[in-house]
Amino acid sequence: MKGVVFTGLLEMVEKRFGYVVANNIIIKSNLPSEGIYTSVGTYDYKEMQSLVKQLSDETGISGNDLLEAFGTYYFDTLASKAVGFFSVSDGLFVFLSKVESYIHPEVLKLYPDAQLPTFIIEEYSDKRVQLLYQSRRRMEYFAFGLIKGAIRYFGEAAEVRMQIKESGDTLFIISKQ
Amino acid sequence: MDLKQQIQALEQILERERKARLASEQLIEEKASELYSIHKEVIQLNTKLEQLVAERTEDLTIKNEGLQVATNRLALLIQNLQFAVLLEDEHRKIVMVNQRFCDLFMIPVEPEKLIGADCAKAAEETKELFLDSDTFIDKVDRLLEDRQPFLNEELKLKNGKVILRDFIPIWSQGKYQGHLWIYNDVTEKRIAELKLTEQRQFYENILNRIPADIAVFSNQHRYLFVNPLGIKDDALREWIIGKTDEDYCRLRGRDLGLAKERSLVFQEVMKEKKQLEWEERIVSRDGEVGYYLRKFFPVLDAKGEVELLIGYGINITERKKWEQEVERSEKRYRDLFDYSQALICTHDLDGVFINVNPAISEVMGYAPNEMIGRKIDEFIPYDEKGLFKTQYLDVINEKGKAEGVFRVLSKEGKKLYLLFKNYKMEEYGSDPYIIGFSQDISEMIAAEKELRIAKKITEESAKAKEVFLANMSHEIRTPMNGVMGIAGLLGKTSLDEEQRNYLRLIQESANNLLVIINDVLDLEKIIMGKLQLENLAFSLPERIEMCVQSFTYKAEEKGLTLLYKNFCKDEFAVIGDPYRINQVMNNLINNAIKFTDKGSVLIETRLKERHESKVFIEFIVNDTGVGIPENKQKEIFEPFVQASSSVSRLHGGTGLGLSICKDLIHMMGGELLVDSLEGKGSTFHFVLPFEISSMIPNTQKIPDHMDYTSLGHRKILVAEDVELNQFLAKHILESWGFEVVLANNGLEALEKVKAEDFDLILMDIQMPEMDGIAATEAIRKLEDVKKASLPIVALTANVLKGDSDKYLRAGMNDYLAKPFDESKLFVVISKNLQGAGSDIHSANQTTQKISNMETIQKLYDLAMVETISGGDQAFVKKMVQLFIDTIPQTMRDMEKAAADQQWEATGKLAHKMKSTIDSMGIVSLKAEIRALEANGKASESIDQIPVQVQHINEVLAKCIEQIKKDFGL
Repeated sequence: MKGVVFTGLLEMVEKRFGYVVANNIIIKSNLPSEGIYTSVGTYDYKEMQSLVKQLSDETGISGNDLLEAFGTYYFDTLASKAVGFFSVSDGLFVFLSKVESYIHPEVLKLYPDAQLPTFIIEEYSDKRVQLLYQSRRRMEYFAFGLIKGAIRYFGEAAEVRMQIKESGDTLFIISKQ
Repeated sequence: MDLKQQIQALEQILERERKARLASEQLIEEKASELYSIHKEVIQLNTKLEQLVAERTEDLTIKNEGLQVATNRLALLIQNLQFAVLLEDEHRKIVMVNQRFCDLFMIPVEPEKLIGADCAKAAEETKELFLDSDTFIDKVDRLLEDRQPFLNEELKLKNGKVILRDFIPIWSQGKYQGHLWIYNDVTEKRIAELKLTEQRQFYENILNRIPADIAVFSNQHRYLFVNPLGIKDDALREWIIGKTDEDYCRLRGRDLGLAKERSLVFQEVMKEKKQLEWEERIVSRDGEVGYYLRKFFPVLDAKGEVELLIGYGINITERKKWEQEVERSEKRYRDLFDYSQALICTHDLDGVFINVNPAISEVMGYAPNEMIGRKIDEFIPYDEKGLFKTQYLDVINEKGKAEGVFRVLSKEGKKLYLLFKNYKMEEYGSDPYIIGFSQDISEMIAAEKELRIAKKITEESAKAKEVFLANMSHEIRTPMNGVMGIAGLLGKTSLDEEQRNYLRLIQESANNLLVIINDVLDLEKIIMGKLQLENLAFSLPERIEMCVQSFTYKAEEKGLTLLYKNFCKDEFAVIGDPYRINQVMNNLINNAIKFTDKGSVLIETRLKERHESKVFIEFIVNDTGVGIPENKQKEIFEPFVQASSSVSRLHGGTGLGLSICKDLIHMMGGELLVDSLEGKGSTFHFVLPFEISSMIPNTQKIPDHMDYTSLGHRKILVAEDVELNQFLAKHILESWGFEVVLANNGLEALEKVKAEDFDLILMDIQMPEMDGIAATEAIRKLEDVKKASLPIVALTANVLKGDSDKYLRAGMNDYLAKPFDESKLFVVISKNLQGAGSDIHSANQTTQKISNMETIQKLYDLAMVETISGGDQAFVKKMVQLFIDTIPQTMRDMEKAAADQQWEATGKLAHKMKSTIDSMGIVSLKAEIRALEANGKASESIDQIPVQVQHINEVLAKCIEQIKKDFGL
């Protein structure tokens, strides 16, 4: 997992819970990287799981909720970094459809070692988009948060529901009123 | 959280950030060294590339010099091309363009200055020039994308120009180099083509739509053109060009004869250089025959030689069919005309024969050419010619048809009667004419004449018989009246037993004679159909009872039991003729007693059926007499037949009785039947229907002993010419205590009535000077109301004509048939003395009505014509019309002949008129016309002739008026 995600998480933790909490969860997680993250580096995704678990213990908020909140927070960071890949004028649905087809391939050009989930478009209409999320790392709540962040970012009246399937894949249903 | 902890956390964070920076710096250094090595590689590659370019440039420069020359030439060529040309490179930059292109697209720049210009947006900029802008853009895009040559694409500009565009992509060694656009302005060519096409279509349309086969042939008789009507199949039509008719026939498996025939005509046209026309008969594959009218027109060249040949053909099958149909129907009519038994002719409006059929010719005895062209009135008898125009020609001209009878003369001079019905025919395009149909009715007319004569004879003999019978009746009754009356008076005197017996025999014989006379008269009346039944209300059982009672004495004399049983329990009166029932029952009972020596005679009446207003009564007369043999049972009802010839010897009688009974019963709606066993007896029975009367009849029973003095003193006038009868009446009446005044005839009676007052008149009908009827009428017209209303009772021996109506209509109150007996006379006198006043008024009215009727009496009577017509009213009308049409001329002729003192001619005209007067039933002229005929013929009483003629003509004129009025003519 790219370091930029870790730095993003820690930035959020510091903002929301204070640098002590941020420090604590790093210490308690006993991470192989010892919590030394550079945005362009690459780290084991399990460190993320450890950090979130520790944060959950520390704050009493469930890990999933934390991941979702992080996703929502993190989308703006991603957007500011991904200038050129998409713009607000695209609109939410166009953006969602571009994730798998355009943004991810471009990301891979910059970071050939990046490990990215797949977002398959199951349905696409003016009113509704269904995205099937597939990832070994099971970061569906993070993805859930990211989609919510995207809705906020594009400023559109839409809502997202998630269905976790038996296969472990997750279906996101984004619909406009 | 304590400070120490916080500081520790911050130190830890700081340590991590430092390490992260170091890690980043290391990453950057790695990337920088990577960049450096890439840069060195790029420089090396660039050097190598420059070297290659330099080598290449040198190479190109050398080639370019030669190329420049070629390019210049090419440019020059392109500039001068008749097409607009645009060459673009692979980036759509203009490589070359010519002036024509600029002109075509109205670009106000020299072509040289366009080189290098970008064409990417050219299509978008010029699209407005094109008729279909969007398609234009799409098409250009597709061409550029496909990079395939696309030639002769037609583009239409909004300004009306039509352009053909070629797109030619340019490839060199598998590499796309650009493309060439070539535009060819074909507007004018298109316009010219269009005009040419329109013109061709115009002519083709004409040729295709002409309802005729049209073909153009070379002078070798090969097809150059044929229109679709000539050959419908498109492929075949194309195929035939350059071929001959023979080729066509072979292809279609047709008979070559057709082609040969055409070929002959073709050769003829080639030779004569004139058009030829002929008819062709073509049998199609399914056997239908078609007819064509064909023409060949030669088209000559400048030298006068045949260059082309135009063939023209129209289908005349329909016309041909019509022609054949017309021919057939003409033949049919011709046959009808020739072989018809009806006389058919046509003539013009002046009456000149146009045509006559063989039937006319045969009847008239003239050959057709002896009649055609001559006027019809040449064949009409001289004295009827005048009527031909007014009565026929003018009528048919005005009304369009006429019918009637022509009298014409045959060649032999025989007069023929033709019953005709002629019509005026008006057809467009030809003069109107008249077609006549007639029938020779001469024989019919002759037969009618014979019939008329025969009828007259029959009628006259019938009349003679009637008169004879009436006279006989009168002549016998009058003395009988005397015999019976005197016998009655004799019976009032004191006589011894023997004398009384003689008197009884006299009376019986007289009665028998009367029965015989009555039977003969009745039978005659029945045969003549002159018997009329009364319709009176009466009580049937009472009537039968009376009848039976009158035979009591006779039955007792023979020791027979005579019994009447009435099984009609219901009380009702019936309507019928009591006298005739009495007559029938009298006859049957009389026979029964006559033919029975011992035993009984039983009379029964039974109710068979009863309906609301109708009853059926059965009458039975049964005896135990000699009976009738079975083989005679039918015959006994025939007149003049008796069961055996011995019967008449033993029992007397005329043999008319049963026959009359049978007829009377039949007239009353029943049938007389007989059941009989020889030696055992007979039963005669019949059933009669009667209406039930709502009124109870006033039965007039003649009392057994009448009190002849009950009427007191009365003054009676007896008008009677026979002395014996005067004596008889006077004696009877005076014995009742009446005063009697006698008159010898009607005139005397009238004078007596005027002079004296009477209570009643007994008036004989047949009297000299003035008969009873005239006298009665005169009395009824008297001013003295009392005298005019005197009760008058007719006494008549004229039983034959004696229907009571006649006397009652004359104003009489009642009548009594002669011979009468005292009791009947008393009843009728007493009835009329009592009720005279009330009846007289109505009688007077009836008289008035009758005299009015007589003043408007018809002068003619069509009974004979109607009889001859057998009910055909049209015939009657025709005869009447003929009378009206012909008689005025005869009248004029007769008047003229009389004025010219041509007595014989007048007599002949009277003879001619005689039969007409007879047949029209103008009775009043019957004698006069005969007198005139006789006078004329013998030239006698010549001073009477003009008077007779005038009178006859006056009556005839009136008669014509009446007929016209009655028939609405």
